[in-house]
Amino acid sequence: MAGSTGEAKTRGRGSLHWIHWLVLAASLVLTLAAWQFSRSQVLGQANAHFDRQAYRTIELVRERMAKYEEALWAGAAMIRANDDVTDNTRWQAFAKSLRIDARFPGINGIGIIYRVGRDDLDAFLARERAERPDFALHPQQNREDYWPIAYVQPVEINRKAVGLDMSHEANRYAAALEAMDTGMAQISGPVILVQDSAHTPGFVFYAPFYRDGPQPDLQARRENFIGLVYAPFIMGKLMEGTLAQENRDVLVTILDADITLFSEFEQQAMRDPDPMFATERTIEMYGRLWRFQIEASKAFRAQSESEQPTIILMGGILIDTLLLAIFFLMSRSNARLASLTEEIRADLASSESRMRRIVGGLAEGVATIDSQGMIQDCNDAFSKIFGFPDNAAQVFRFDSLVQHDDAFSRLMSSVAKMDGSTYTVAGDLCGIRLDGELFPMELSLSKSGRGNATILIALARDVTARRSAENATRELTERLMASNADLERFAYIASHDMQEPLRKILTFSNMLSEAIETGDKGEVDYSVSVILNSAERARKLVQDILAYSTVQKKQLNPDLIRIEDALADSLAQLHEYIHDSGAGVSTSLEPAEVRADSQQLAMLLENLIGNAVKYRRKDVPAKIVIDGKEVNGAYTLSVNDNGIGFDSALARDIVQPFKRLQSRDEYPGSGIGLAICAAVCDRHGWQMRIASAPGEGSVFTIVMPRAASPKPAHTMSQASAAPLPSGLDPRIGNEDRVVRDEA
Amino acid sequence: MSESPIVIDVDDQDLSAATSGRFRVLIVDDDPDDVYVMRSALRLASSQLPGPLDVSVAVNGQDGLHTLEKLKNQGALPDVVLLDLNMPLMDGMTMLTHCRADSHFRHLTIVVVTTASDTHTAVKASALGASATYVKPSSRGEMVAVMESISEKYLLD
Repeated sequence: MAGSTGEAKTRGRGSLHWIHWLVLAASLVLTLAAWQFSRSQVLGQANAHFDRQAYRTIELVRERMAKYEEALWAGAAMIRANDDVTDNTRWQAFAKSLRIDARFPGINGIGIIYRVGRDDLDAFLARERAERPDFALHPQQNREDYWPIAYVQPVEINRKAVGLDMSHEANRYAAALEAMDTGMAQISGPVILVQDSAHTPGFVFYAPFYRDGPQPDLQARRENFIGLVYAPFIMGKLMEGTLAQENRDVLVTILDADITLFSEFEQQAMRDPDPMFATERTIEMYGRLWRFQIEASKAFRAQSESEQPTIILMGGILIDTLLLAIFFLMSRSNARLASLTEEIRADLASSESRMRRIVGGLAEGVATIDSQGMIQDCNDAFSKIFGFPDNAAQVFRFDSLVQHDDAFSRLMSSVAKMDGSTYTVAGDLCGIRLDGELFPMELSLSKSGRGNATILIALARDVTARRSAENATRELTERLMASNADLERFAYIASHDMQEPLRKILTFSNMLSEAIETGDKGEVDYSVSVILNSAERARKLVQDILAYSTVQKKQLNPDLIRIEDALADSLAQLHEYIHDSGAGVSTSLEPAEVRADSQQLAMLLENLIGNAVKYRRKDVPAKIVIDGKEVNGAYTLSVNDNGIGFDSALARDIVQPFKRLQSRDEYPGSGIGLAICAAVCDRHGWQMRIASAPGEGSVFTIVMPRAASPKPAHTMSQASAAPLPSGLDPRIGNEDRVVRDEA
Repeated sequence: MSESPIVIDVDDQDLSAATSGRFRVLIVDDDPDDVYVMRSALRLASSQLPGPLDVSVAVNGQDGLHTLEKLKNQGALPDVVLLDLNMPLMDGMTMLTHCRADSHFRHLTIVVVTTASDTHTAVKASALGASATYVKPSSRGEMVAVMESISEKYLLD
């Protein structure tokens, strides 16, 4: 049962705990968040970088245009400084001084456009042809005014532009008019420059100049307008010059009214098919709206792509995986530990239960006692010995269970001297049961542990039965020894008493023989009488010894006997003897039935009455009173006489076989009568009390308790040994003196 | 129960006339038949004696002490006390002990004559001060020899 529970627990501890999963989930979320954050950071940085690049690109174009504007205005200023007059030579000198190649890369040239009225055309042509005979306007137009490019430097690459009438084409012309009207620098819409043999997109940049400098209003500007300083731009060249030096990773396309001025989008090697960023900005550029389309290039992607988020993600996942592995290892360790713990616990429990079974089965009482002297735990035997109800021992102090005598003090002082290591002291003490009963106890104490953890282990054994058995054995031994001594004495005395008549018969037979020879009649008679008496005595002795032995060893046949009938029978048996002695017998019996062996009861009564008759005083007629009555649950029969009596101190002696207080000559007998009486009482569980005083008669009282139970026959040795009859009351002699009825 | 000592004047001589030269014996024995035999044997042995024979008899130890007291007062302490051991009221050993504790009777010749034939009895009697111990013989002839032996040993020296 314990095993299956243990396994369930082990399984429970083997899998991950919800806290582990929570930590893992939190760590995963953190990892993802960090990855996401890092990614957004990187993306943000890239975005900002892109924005900067896009802005920078636009700014570069703008700056470059501003520089070109300055160059244009410088030309206008130079013309104004020459009182609004210039010619090709001067212009060439000025333009060369600008060093366009070096300072204004991307510009295709710088020149002058005049507005020439139809009327002034010839004069204009004449003046210019003075210096340049081949100068002519083209294309040929018939207009109110003409807008020819008069000078342009460098001449070589712009030769086709010299003499070009700007009014021939809408974009150029519109921008030129706008510049004139606004007084501001102005660029044209997209055009194909005549000098650009590749026919790529381009534009022209104008700055107006007026007579007497800048004019305040439109009217004045139109009236005083002279011409324009102009610069043609091939877009590709411009952008090449502008952006050439930049490490850009964005691609740019510039449109003017849906016409592509410049585009890097065709560069497939650099273009990202799915650009990370793209933007479009429309910039007002000297009267035109330029749309800048800017894309992040492949290079941008390459530069922007950061490993950081991936590293964070991978690192996080790695950590999470490790965490998971660690948790699993920990759980498995825990499971192993739990299983081991469970095993140890089960072992311990089984060991403890085994110990408990062993201790519980001990006949000895076992208890543990804490350092305060309280009983902690005990087995059933301990509870039983001290009479505790189940599980009630724990409320008792140990020392309340032991009588505090010298043995206990010695034991406790031995315990006090013990150190922590276990050893045992034992003693024979007196235990106290719960009901207060004292009992002999063997107690062993062992000490275990140190300090407050010290416990005493007590082994208690109730030795009442053993002690009583020992006592019984001792008593039996003593009885046996006494019995053996009695047996020796009996044998000695019996042989002496038997030898005596035999010796006399022998002696007087010799004397008889001599007397017959000598004819001594007197001695013949005497010897014969002695021989006859001795023979009779020997016969009587043998009879009495046999009777005594029979009383002791014969199987009792107890019956309910009416005491008055038994007494009547005995008196009838003794009738002649009583009559001859002249004794008077009176009886006063409460009728009763007693349980007794009829033969033995008869022997008892006849011996008592016979003795009362025999030991009468010579000068006083015997008067015998026999009483019988119920006293305290016992039938009490007493035989009172007024005979010679005896010293009651000798009462114990006279019940011994062969013990005589009187000379046999005077009071013949074997000396066994009272021994038979005592033996009968002993067999029946009765008491015989004797009270007497010399010259004052005797009282023999038989107490027959109703509860008395006849004893079994003695063994042979006991039967003949005649130990002190236990039926004899020890209060012999202390009984009331016989009340003499002398009347 | 009081008893008078039974004093038998064997030769019909008055005790008061007793003079030196008489052989006085006190027999203490409860068995009259044994007394008869001893007295008879003494009479048969008396021919060896220097003077007439006085025999007194007591029936137990108590009676024996009384008799001794009476004889002492008469100035007629016995030459020999023949003492039986097994007697009612006071046995021979007790009487012997009393005699040896009494300055008047300490030097009396007390011969134990008993039916007990065991060594233990003889040793005990000797220890209590018995002059000699004889087992009661089973014929008068032997008893005569015992009496002669006693008279020789305790009277003739």
